[in-house]
Amino acid sequence: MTLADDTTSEVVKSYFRYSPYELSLMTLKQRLSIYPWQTELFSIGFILIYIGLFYYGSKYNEKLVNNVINLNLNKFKENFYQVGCTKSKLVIKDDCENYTFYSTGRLNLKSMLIKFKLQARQNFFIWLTELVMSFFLETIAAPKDLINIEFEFNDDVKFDNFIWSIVTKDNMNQIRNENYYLSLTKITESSKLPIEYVFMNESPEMNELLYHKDLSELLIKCKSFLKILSITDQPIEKPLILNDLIPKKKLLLQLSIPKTPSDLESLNELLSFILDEYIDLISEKAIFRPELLKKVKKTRDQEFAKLKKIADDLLKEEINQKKLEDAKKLRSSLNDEESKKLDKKQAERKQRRQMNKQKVRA
Amino acid sequence: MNPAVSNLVIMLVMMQVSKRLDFEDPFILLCVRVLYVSCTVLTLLVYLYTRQLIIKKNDLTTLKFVEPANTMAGETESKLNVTTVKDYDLKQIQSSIKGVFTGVAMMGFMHLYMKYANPLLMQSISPLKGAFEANLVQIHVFGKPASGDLKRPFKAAGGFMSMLGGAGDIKTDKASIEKAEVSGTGGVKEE
Repeated sequence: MTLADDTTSEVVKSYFRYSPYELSLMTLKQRLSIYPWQTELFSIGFILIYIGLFYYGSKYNEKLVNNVINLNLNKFKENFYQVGCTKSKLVIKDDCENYTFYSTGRLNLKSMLIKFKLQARQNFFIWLTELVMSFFLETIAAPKDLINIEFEFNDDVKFDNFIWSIVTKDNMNQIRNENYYLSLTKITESSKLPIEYVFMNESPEMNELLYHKDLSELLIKCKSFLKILSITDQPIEKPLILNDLIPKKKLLLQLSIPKTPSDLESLNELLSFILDEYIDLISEKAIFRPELLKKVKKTRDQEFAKLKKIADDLLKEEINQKKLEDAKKLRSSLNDEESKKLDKKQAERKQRRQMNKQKVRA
Repeated sequence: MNPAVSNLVIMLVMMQVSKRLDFEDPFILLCVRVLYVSCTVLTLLVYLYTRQLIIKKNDLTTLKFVEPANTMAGETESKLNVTTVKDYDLKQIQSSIKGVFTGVAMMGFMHLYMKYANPLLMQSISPLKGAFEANLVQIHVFGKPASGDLKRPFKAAGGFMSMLGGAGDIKTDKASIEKAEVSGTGGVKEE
């Protein structure tokens, strides 16, 4: 038998059939050539696919964000002194799903903040799991793209505190559950609005002033993506401490991401209207008659009272706790005789108190 | 006939039938399996068709009602629910569809793991019957007017689960809606 014959018959034999002794006789090259690489190839292939999907997904997200920003960039530049988060960077990528855009330096406005919250496209497998699980479990939300735009007014603007919004009817219960300020408002339908929207505001009387005649046309154009348009002085998150209740006037927009060119165009029209006309209109004219504001103030007083009560209860509990601890400390520092005296004193005090109570009743 | 009564009748009849069937016989077993699968698929199709009708109708009439507090989830206040007829119907049909899948999972466990064949027969008829008796199927497929018992929000069927919850009914009167509407319950940060 020649040497060549020998090797070919060995190649047919599976790697794992060789004894360690046989393997140790081979050179490294021989061993590598007979090793079955399927598992490794599969793993590497999978990793490559994963990386490819990651790259494609995150690029796609980036494209969505850039589309929206670039189309409106000129409008922003017309309106703001500083456009973009820093001088060199327009948009900051918080992670593959979250992007932030910021502008400042305009009359009546402190800032404009645009937050993109996109689907986890970069992680295809998580995305798929979420999609499937959201069908069966209510607690898991189906992946969706959202843009939140916040125009914060200057502290010195003169208009009144109020909550006034137009909200899409789709999933409006969820929207109300997610936004504290909306859960302080009444829901009213109106023939002025397109059928897809409702007013959520503190008084329908505000509509006359705030529902600008151009809005109805804009709403129809934006109905496929615009979810919320609101002016509010109250926060989105439910306040936990009294300081959270301090009014901060804002104009808020919430949209799903527009993808078609016509939708992007409509968004541009909406933003132009808001920046060119609406913000200044509100800042100068949104002042209501005192009777109407009484109701507005009452809502805020009620919420204040609720939080105050919680804070007071907490304080009371703390004081009681401290008293108990002090009493414990006092007792542990006394000797037998003194503690007996203290017991007697406390018993007497208790008796007196009961007597007093009886007197009152009698 | 009252659905509860007819359910009982069907159950008794099916029990007698399944007593007389020999589930050891592979042909009979195959027949029962085919019956179960086809009935389940049909049930699913009825719901999906209704879902399609709901989406096509796109009824955006708003609906307001006050849900009782879910004591199991630790809620203390009753909550306002504001939705559209379309959203409400979709949510209901979604839970029915989910119910079908839950049923299949249970059946899969019982039949494939525990090797019971009896429930296959029972479980093929009653979900299908349930589908045709469902409020939404009655309204959208059979075109019955949404009034009386079919008025939204639908009343819970009652029974064991509602007793467990211990909560009252859904309220639709104006006073409770107005009270719950501006209660400031939204925006609670989870996690």
